[in-house]
Amino acid sequence: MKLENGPRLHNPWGFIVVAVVSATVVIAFGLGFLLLPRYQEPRAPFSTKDAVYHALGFHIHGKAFNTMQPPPKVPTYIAWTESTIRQATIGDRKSGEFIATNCTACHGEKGLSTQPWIPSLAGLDRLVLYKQLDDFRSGTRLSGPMSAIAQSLTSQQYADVSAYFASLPGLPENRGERTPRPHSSYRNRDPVQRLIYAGDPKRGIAACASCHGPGGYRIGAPALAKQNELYLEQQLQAFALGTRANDMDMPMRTIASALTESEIRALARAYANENANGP
Amino acid sequence: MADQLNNEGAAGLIPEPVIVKTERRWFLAMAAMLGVMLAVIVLTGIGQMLHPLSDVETIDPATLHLQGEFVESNLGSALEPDGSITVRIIAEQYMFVPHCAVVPASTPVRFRLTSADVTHGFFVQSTNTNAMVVPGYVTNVRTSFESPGTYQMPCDEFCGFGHHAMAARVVVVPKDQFKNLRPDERMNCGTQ
Amino acid sequence: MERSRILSLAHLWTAFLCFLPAVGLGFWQMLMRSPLPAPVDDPNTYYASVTAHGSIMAYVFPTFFAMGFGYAIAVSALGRPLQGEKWAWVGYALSLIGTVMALVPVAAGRASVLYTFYPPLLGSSWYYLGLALVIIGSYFWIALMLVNFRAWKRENPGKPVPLAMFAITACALLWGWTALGAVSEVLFQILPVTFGWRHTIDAGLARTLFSVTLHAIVYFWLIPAYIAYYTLMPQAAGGRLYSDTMGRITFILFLVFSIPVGLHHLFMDPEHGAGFKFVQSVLTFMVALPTLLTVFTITASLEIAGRVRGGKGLFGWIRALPWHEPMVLGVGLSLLLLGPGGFGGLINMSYAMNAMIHNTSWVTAHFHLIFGGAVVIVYFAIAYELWPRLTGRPLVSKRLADIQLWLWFWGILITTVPWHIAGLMGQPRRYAIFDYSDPVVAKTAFLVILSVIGGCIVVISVLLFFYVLVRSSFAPVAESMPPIRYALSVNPPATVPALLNGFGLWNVILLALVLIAYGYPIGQFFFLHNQDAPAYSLTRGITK
Repeated sequence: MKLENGPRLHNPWGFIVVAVVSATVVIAFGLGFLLLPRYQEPRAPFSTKDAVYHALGFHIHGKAFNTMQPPPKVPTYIAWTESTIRQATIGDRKSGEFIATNCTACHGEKGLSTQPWIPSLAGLDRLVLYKQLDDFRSGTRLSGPMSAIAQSLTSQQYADVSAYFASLPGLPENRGERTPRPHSSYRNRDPVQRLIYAGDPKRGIAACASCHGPGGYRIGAPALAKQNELYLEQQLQAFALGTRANDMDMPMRTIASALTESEIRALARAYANENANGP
Repeated sequence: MADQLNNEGAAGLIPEPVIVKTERRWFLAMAAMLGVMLAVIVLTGIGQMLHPLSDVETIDPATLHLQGEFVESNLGSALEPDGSITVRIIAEQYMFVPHCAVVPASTPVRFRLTSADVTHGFFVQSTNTNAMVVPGYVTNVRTSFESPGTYQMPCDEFCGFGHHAMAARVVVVPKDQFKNLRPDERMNCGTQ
Repeated sequence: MERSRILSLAHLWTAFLCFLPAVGLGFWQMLMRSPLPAPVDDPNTYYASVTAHGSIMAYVFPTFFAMGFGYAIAVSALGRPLQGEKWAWVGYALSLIGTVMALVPVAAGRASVLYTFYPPLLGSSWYYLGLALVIIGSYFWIALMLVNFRAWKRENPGKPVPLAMFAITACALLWGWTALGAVSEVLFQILPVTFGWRHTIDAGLARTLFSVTLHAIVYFWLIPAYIAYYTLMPQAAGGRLYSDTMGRITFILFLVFSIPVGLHHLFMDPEHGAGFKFVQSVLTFMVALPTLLTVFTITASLEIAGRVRGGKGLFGWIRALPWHEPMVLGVGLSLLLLGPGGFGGLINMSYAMNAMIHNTSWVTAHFHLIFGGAVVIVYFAIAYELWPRLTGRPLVSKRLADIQLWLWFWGILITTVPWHIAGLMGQPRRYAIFDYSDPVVAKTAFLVILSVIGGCIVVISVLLFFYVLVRSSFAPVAESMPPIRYALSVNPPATVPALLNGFGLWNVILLALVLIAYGYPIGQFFFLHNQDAPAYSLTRGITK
């Protein structure tokens, strides 16, 4: 190898190759960093330093950029940060069971509500329960009795009671998995099934199941199967009207306001009568 | 036999200098062609300001609703002091919020989007307005719409099981029909 | 020799046996997207299916094919037994285990993240581990290609390395360098999250690391086909290669320029400034050069063969070519598909023009035309060429093989041309289902149905391919089977410059270019802050 390479050190081709490649790179950098960025904004050209900064991706907003914001409105004080998720999932089921004796009057024995406007809690995701309790406390979700109860508990107790209800058998837990289920696309003629499994992109409505299951999961979205029909209907209407506004980044207000009154009723009925494998 | 195996009929058919000459010519022709195409890209970049996104801005995707420019009251169309429009939109599983944006025609529009969860795509059909929305980053797209009408705005990057139904719209209204917004006023299809 | 034949055959059979179900899934996906009825009418299954189809077609099938073809070349082109054969079997076993590990969670619906696995959307750890294992298995192959390359050079000082071996070694090196992008994304970003050690991920960095692999992988698929262009086709056509030197330059250009161009997949991304996007756009132009050179050299080689066979006049040589030879037909049809495919690619890579078609069906159509069309059709031709030599049994029917190649050609064209047009009309890619009751979507219905018809033809072609291979595997053993022969060039070089006989300098230039083109774009993420996104799971259990 050495012998073979030795005499060829004087071969000009190695230098020519390196020179051509270097020239290409230099031209590319020159065009991309010095010339093109100057023509990237309506108010261009700017200085060489600005051009290089801009090409590197440092954002330089002009003075014309409006920074005056309307008064902020906070839908919920929960954010799905790592610490919140940890806090919401370290609950102790046993302590939760003790706290939950306060809940049975309304939410039923073992978390299965018999009153149609009150939700069943058995089997719901811990993160869902934790967030709603915190929202009741902060007043971003409104309910007289629940606000009072939530304000009397600590966040550790939220986690405990959530752990307890999540552990109960009841509503089928939404693990975001399911076996293939035929006729869950736009080919299905049943408009309610279509909404649940395929959505309606014309109106910007995503499929319910892709977040609430069966077959999909989104953090903070409760499983809806076997939930009380009247409760589901009332919540959808509240989201549509904006009287319930604790959905982080507005997914439910966006979707519910696009649904018709009869669709809301039909969806609530379909989910209430659903089993784990789908309505 | 050996003759047939190595296709000796073709051996030395063309002298090496001729081969070298033709290949060098072809090499130069192709290099020139690529050079011309590159020149077209540079010239359109200069003349028509055709550029990909260039602003790298980061943002915490978990706390969009608590602070910063993507709190819900600040979403939608805003009027800038220079008469241009800024539209702020959140992309999330599986919708855009607001899911219908209003902008005036023939006006510079700056879309600012970010994602609350996973990577989404921002694509206004039948236009060149097309960008990725990556969580942790703000997508800053400048464009303007010449003809009024309703444009579909589907998500064009896979974002999960509901991806195919993730869609929004951009409604372009004639310039004179666009409401004159106060600096702290925001608008979308629902509020117009 | 016998054992190394089994080695190659095992790899090639594995490649094609993975390919078969993946084609079936692809066809079902086309039905799902169309207005026609589809069995198992379920969008979730579609996304699982795309993940399986893409993972097999992008990682498993071409990797096993390149490995099997590489071993066959190392033995036949160098004329010496394969050094380190038992390590080849270790690599094979790892890649096979990885394939199963990756595909089981996909089939269970727990890894429907699509084969590009863009975080923070995450699936089962097993999926990522499996794919990493497929790649790790292929590193054994890369090492063996280099070892055998070196060993031959030591034994034959000063002689030019046979072009086929030179090219497959370039291919192995290219894959070795470029796979580092995706592998480091999986090892350093994704697995720590799916194992629960970390909870957030920088999606921008992940996309950038993936882009290091995302473009050059295409050349990893392509080079085996180009090896057939340069070394097998001129021989089969009865002629010689126009120029050995041009072949070497082509493969070197692929090696050097195919990695520092990946940012052109991120033109529309917010995590990079336009400066480096432009620089990599320019480098992408450089990587178009070897393909343009190949078109000339291969056409010239075809003409030589035609003229040797008595073809006269301006176009008479075309008719004189032995089109009944699957290798000649395969390469001819591949060149025809490369034309429109390459044109589409030029649009994709053109800086701002990309916005028109970014993430529309145009892109999917483009890579199906280039990879499915121009590349896989040559894989078929290579299989037809290798099978008799590896099994010692003649091909049962060249006629059936020719029909199969023609069906594939038309099938791919009818599939991808309407698909391109639908993309131009704004059809987004990666949609499980389209709502054809929407008048905007309904305009593409006819095009999509046309695509499905093309898909039907493709499926028939694949079945015919398997029929020919299986029948040939049971054909009586031929009395004598000539070994694989590689085309000599018109004027075979006695020596070649050291630059064109090894990769030392080219590896240095490659690394320098990658450093220049990717140094800042990757480095910047370590200086940004606040951009980490919580990991999101399609199914439950990962973020917790």
